[in-house]
Amino acid sequence: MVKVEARLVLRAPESEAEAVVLAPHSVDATSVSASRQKRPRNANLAARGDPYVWLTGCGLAVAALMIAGLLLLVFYNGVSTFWPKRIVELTLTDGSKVLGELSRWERYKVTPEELNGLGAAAQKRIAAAGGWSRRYLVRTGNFDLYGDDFKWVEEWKVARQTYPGDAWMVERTEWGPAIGYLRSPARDGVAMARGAEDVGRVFSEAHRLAAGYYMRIRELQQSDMGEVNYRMESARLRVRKAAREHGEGSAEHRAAAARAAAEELQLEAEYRRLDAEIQRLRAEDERLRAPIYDATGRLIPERPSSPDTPMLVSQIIRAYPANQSSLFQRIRTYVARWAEFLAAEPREANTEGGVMPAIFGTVLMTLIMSVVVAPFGVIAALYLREYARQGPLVSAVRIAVNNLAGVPSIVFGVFGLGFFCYLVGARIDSLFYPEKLPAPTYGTGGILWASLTLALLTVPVVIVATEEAVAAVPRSMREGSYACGASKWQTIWRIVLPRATPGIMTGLILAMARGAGEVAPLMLTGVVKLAPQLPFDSHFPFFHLERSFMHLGFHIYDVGFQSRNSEAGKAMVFTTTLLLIALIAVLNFAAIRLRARLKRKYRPAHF
Amino acid sequence: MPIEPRIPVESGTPPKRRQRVTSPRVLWVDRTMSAAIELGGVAVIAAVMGIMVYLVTVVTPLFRAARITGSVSYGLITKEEVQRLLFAEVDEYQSLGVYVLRSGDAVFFGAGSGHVLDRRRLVPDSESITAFSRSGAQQLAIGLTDGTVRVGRLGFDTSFVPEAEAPRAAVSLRPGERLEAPPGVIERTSTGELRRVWPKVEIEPPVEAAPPGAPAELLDYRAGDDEERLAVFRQDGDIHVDAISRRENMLTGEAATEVVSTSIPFPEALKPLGRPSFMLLASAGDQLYLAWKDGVVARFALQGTSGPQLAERADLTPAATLNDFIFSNGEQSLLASDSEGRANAWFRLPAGAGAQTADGFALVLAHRLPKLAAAITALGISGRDKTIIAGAADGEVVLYYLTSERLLARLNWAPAATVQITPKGDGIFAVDHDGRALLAGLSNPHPQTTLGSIFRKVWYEGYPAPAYTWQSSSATDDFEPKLSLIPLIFGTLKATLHSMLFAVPIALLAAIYTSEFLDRRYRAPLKSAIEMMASLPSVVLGFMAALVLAPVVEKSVLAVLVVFAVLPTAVLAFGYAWQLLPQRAALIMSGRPQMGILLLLVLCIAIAAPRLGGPIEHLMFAGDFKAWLDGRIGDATPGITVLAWPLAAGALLLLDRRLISGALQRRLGSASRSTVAAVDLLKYAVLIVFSVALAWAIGAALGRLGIDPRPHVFGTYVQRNALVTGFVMGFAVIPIIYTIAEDSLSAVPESLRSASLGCGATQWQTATRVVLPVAIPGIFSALMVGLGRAVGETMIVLMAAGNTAVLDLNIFSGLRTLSANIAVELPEAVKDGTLYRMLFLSALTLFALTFVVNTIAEIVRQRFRWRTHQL
Repeated sequence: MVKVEARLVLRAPESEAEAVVLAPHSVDATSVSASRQKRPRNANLAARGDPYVWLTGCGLAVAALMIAGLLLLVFYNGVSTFWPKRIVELTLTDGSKVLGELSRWERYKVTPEELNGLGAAAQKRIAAAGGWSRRYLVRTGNFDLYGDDFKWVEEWKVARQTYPGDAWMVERTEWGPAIGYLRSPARDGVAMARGAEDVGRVFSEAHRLAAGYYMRIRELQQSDMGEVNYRMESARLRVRKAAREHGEGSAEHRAAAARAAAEELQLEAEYRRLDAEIQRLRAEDERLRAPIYDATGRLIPERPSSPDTPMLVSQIIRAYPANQSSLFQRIRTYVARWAEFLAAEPREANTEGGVMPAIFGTVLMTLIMSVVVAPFGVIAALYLREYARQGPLVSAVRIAVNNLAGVPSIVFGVFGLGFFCYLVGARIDSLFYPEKLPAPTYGTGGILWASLTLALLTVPVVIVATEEAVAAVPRSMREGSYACGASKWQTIWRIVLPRATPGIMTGLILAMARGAGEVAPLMLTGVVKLAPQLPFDSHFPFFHLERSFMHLGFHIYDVGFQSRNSEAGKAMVFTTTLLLIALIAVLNFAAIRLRARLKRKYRPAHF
Repeated sequence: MPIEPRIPVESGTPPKRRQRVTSPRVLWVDRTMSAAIELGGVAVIAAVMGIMVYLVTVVTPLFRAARITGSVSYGLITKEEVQRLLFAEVDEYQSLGVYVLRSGDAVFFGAGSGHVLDRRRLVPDSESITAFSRSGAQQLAIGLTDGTVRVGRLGFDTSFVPEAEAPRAAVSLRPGERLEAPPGVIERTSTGELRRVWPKVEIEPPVEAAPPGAPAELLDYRAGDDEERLAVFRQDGDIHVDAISRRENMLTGEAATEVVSTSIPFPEALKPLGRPSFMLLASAGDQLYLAWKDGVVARFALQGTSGPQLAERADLTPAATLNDFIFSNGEQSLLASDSEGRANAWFRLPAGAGAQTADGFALVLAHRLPKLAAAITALGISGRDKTIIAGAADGEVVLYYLTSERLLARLNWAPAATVQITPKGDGIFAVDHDGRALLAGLSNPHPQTTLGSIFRKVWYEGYPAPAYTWQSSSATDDFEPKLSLIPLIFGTLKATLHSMLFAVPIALLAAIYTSEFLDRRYRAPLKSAIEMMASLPSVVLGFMAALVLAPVVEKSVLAVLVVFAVLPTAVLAFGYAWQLLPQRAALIMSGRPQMGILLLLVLCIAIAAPRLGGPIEHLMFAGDFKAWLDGRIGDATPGITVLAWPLAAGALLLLDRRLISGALQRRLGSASRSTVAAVDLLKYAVLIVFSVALAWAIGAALGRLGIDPRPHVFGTYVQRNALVTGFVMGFAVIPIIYTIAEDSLSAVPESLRSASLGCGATQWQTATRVVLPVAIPGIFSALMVGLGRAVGETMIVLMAAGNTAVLDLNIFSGLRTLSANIAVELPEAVKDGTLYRMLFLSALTLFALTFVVNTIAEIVRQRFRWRTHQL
C-alpha cells in the first residue's frame, strides 16, 4: 500500500480543477492524457491532503483515548478503593490535629482574606505559585463525632505531618469508619492487654469472640425470628382466605381462626424463647468493649447519645493499625474487603458493606430474561425466515422488529409498568391472591415483570441474530436433508438449528449484556434501593418472582446520586461500576469467543 | 419448501422389508411444530408491535371529552320559589341535597328524587334573608332584614352506621342502593358499609363588629387558613370588611371570637353607576371586587400603605350585561359571564409600564372560553380543578376547563337558575327557571389536556404571559397542573443537539480514518474496542458525568472549551508541519507509527491546551469567565467572537480554496516539495490568525450594535448542564455512529478504490471523492441511528442534566428530557391519572420519534446495500 502511494505522488494531478475530474463517474482517458501534457513539476500537497488525514486520525485517537481514559479511571478507582491506605496525622498551625486517610488533593485559589492571615513566608510561596495553593481532602471518619466523613485541609495550614504507628482504621457496622487510637480492649471495664504491644493480639482475640456473638444474634434475628413471623403471617392469611371463600363467620372461617389462634400462641412462646436467647447473647456481648480515641483524645462512643461508653467490640467489622501493617496484612485486608463487598449485604444506606443482593438480583433477572427471550426470539425468527411467505409484508415486519432495538429503553419500562404490573399483575392478584388485597402481590413492580420488560427490550436482538444465523445455513444442506426424506421440522431441528446455534448464542449473549446494563426500565418495573428480601428463600415456592429486587446499575445510580454522603459513597460506586463493567465485558467477550469458536467448528459444513 | 413425505420412497430390491411410509409420529411432530412456530412467531411479533397499540390506548382518554351520564330530572320547587332561590346543591355522594330560599328556609331533599326530607329555618321567623354568600365546602353568610349578618355552616354530615343501629329497612339494602330516611339518606357502599348523610346547619350569633345599620345587600364570606373574612355591602352604600379570628382558650375550652372591621367609603366616582350587583373578596383579604350589571368592575386594594383604596376600574363585558361574576377555584382568576354567551377569565397581574392603576396591578383578560349561542345565566366551579359549569338561557348546560379553554361537554336541558359541579367532580346538579332539578353523573377525568394545552403556549394563573411550562404536581388542590410537553421536547432536542455536535465529527472522522487510512492490523481490535463502548451501561456514563466530570468541568469550564477549539486546530497545524518532513521519512512514518504518533499528539494537546485557559480568560473574559457568563463583567465582544470564529475560519478556508490556493500553486511553479510545504504551513498560520482577527472584528462590530449572546447562548453556569450532558452522551453515541458509518465505508467495493488509485488519484482524493459519495446513504443512516439513541437516552440525562424543565438555549444551563421526566415522575404518578397518561404520551412521542427515525435509517441502509451490490 505504502509503495503504491509513493508512485502515485509523482502522478498526482496538478490543480484542483483537474482533481475534480477524478470523480468516479467521469474518469475518462482524455482528461488523464490532457493532464499529462502539463505535467506537474512541484509536489501538489493539497491533493495528498495530509493535514486532513491527520485530522481524521485525530477523531479515531480521541475516540480511542476517551474509552481508554474512561476504563482506566473506573479500573484504577475500582481496584484501589479497598487497598488499605496509611493514616496521616496533620498538626495544623493552630495546634489542632486532623487524623485520617488522605483521599485526594486539588489546586485552589487562595482567597485574599486567607492570605492576609498568613505569615510572610507562606504569602511569598503562594504568590510565587500565582495565588494558587493545594488543599487535601482527608477522610477523618468518625461521622458520629464530627458530623462529616471528610475534611478539607489547606496546605498552608499544615505545620507537621506524621504517620503514627498506633493509629487504627476501624470499620464499624454503623456511622461509617472510625479512625483513632485503639487502646486495650476491656472485659467488664478491665483492660485485657498487658501493654501497648499486646493490643493488636488481644483485640483480634476479643474480636473473634464478639464476632461470634454478633453472627449468632443476627442469625437468630433474621432466620429464626423471620421464620416465626412468616408462619404468623401465613396463619393470618389462611384465616382471611377462609373468610373470603366460605363467608365471614362460616364454620370453616371459625375453624381456621381457632387453628390460627392456637398456632399463634405456640409461635409467641417460640418468639419469647428466641428473644430471651438474644438478650442473653447481648448481655455477654456488651461486656467486651474497645476504647478508641480520636486525634484530640475524645472517646469514640458506642452511640452518640452516651459519649462516655466505649464502642462494643462487636460493632467493629474490621480493624487494623494502618501504618504498621505489613504488605501481607494489607493484602489480607484488601482481599477481605473484596470478599465482604461481593458476599455481604449493604449497610449505611448502601454506602458500605457489600452488594451481594444487587449481584444476585442482576444475575437472576438476566437469567429469567434469557430463559424467556431465547425460545420466543428463536421461534419468531424461525417463523419469519422459514415459515412466513417472504414478501413486502415480512420485510416490513423485519424492519419494524429491527427498529424496536432502537426504541428507547424507558419506553419499554413505561409499557412494562402499565401492562405487566398494573394490568396483568392486578388481574393475577384478584384471581390468585385476593386475601392479600389491597396490598398488591404481583400488582406492583417485581423481578418477574422487570425480566419480562427486558425480554421485550432484547427480543429484537435475538430475532435479528437468529434470522441471520438461520439464513447463513446453506440451502444445499436443507435440500440434502429433504432429499433424504426428512420432514421440515426434522430439517430445522437436526440440520438448521445446530448450524445456527453459534449465531443464536451470540445474539442471546449480546441480549444478556444489554439487559444487564439497562437501568431506566427497571426503575419503573421493580428495582428498589434496598430490598428487604431476596427473590429466593427457603419458603415454598422458593423463587418469589413478585418481589422487588436490587440491581448493580441502579445501585450505582442510587449511591452515587441519591445518597446523603456522595463523597463517602463514591468509592463504593466505583467498585460497583467496575463489577458491572466486568460482568458486561465478560458477556461480550464470551459472545465474541463463542462466535469465533463455533464458526470454526462448523466451517467444514459448507459443501 | 413443499415436500410430499407420504409418497413411498422408491428403492431397489431391499435386502429386507423396509418401512416405506413416514411414521405418523414424524408427521404429527412436523405439523404440531409448524403450527406452534407459526402461532408463536405471530404472537411474538404481535406482542412486540402491541407496545405501540397499548401506549395509544392508555393515551387516548386524555383527549376524550367529558361525558354526562345517567341524568335524572324531577320537579324540585315551584316556579315562584325559583325567584326566591338563593342556592341549591347536593352532597359529595349525590345522595342528599339542600336549597335555600330568601325567606330563610333551608330545605333538605333526596338528591335522586326531590323528596323533601328536612326543613330548617336559618333565621328567626320574623326575618328573611337580604344577602347571601356561599363559599368553600360549607361556609355560608347571610344578611338579615334586621341589618345583622350571620355566618355559619350549612351542609352535610357523613358517618358510617353500624348494622345494629341502622333502621330495619336499611339492613336489607344491597350495595349501591339508598334509602331516604328523614332527615337524611342512608346508602350501602360498594364495600358493604352503611353510610349516612345527614343535614348540618350551624348558624352563629350575628357578627358583632358590624354595627347595626341598613340590611346587607351583598355579602362575601371567605374562610382562609387562619382567619375568616367577610365583606358586607349595605343597602345604604356602606362597605366594610371584617376579619374574624377565632381562638380557643386552652384552659377553659371557651371559644373567643375577635372581629376587626374596616370600613371602606363608597367612592364618589362610582356613584353614577348605581348599585353594584356582585361583590367578591379574596381570602387573603387584600382585594375586594365590586361589579355592576353593565360589566364595570371596581377593584379595591385593601392592604395598601394608605389604607383601602379604589385601585382600578375595568369593563369586563363591553356592550353586554354581566350576568355572573365569581372566583375560579383557587381565587386566582375572576370569571365573568355575560348576556352574549361569553365567559371570560381575568387575572390580576403586575401592570406593565403605563398602566393607570393605583397599586401597580391590573386586571388582564387571560382566557376567553368558547362562546355560547345565548346569554349565560349561571356559573359554577369545581372545587377540585379548574372545571367551570355554565347554564345558558337557551337551555344549554356546558362544561369548560379554564386553563385549556376547552369545551368539555354540552347538554341540552333547560335555562338554568343555578348550576353546580358536585364536590367530588363526578356529577352536575342544576335547577331551572321552572323549578325542575337535574342530577347527572359526570365523567371528566382529564379536563386539562388538549393538543393546544400540550403543545401551545398556555396562560397559567399568576403568570405574566402565556408560557410553555411543565410542572406536574403540587401539594394543594387548587393547583393548576402545567402540562406542556414543549419544554421537555426542547430539552430532548437540546441534549440531542449537543451530543451530536460533539459525537458526529469524532465518529465520522474516526470511521473514515479506520476504513481508509488505518493500518489493517489495527482495524479489527480498534473497531471491536469502540463497539464494546456501545454496550457500556449508560448509568456508568451518567455517574461519570455527574460525579466525576461535572465538578472538574465546573472548576475549569474555559479550559475544557479551549481544548475543543485547540485540538482540531493544533492537529491540522501538526499535519501541515508534517509535510515539511522529507518524503522518505514521511513515508516510513505514515504506516503503523502514525497511530502511535496520533495518540501521543492528542494526549499532549489534551494535557497542554487547558493551560491556555488561564491566559485566554484574562485576555478575553476580564479574568473571570463565570462572572462574564453571569453578565456581571465584560462586554459582548468575546462571546460573539467565540461564536463567529468557526464561521470566519470556514469563510477564509473557502476563500483559500477558491482563489488563493490556485494562484499560489501557479506562482510557485516548480518549487521543491519542502518549499511548497513551508508555504502551506505559513498560509495555514496566517489563516488562523486572520480568522481570529476577523471573528474579533465581527464581535466588536456586533457588540457595538448592542447584540449580546448573553444570557441566551451563553448564560449563568450551572454545575449539571447541557455541555457536560452532551459530552458524556457523546460516549454513548460515538460507537453507534462509528460502527455503522465504518461498516458502510468498508462496504464500498474495493474495485472502486483500485480504479480511482489506478487513475492517479491520491488516497485522500479517493476517500473524499469516490468512497465517501458512495457511502453517504450509509453514513446518513448511521447519523439517524445515533440520533435515535441520543433522543431516548435516559440515565445519562437523568444524572447529568440537572432535570430543570426550562426553555433556555444557554449551553451552561440544565435541561429535562422526555425520557428523564418519565423516569422521575412515573413512579409517583397515580395510575390512570392525568399525569400518568401524560407520561405515557411522552413515551409514545419518544417511541414514534425513534421509530420513524430508525425506519428511515433502515430503509436508506437497505437501499444503500442494494446499490453497493450493483456497483
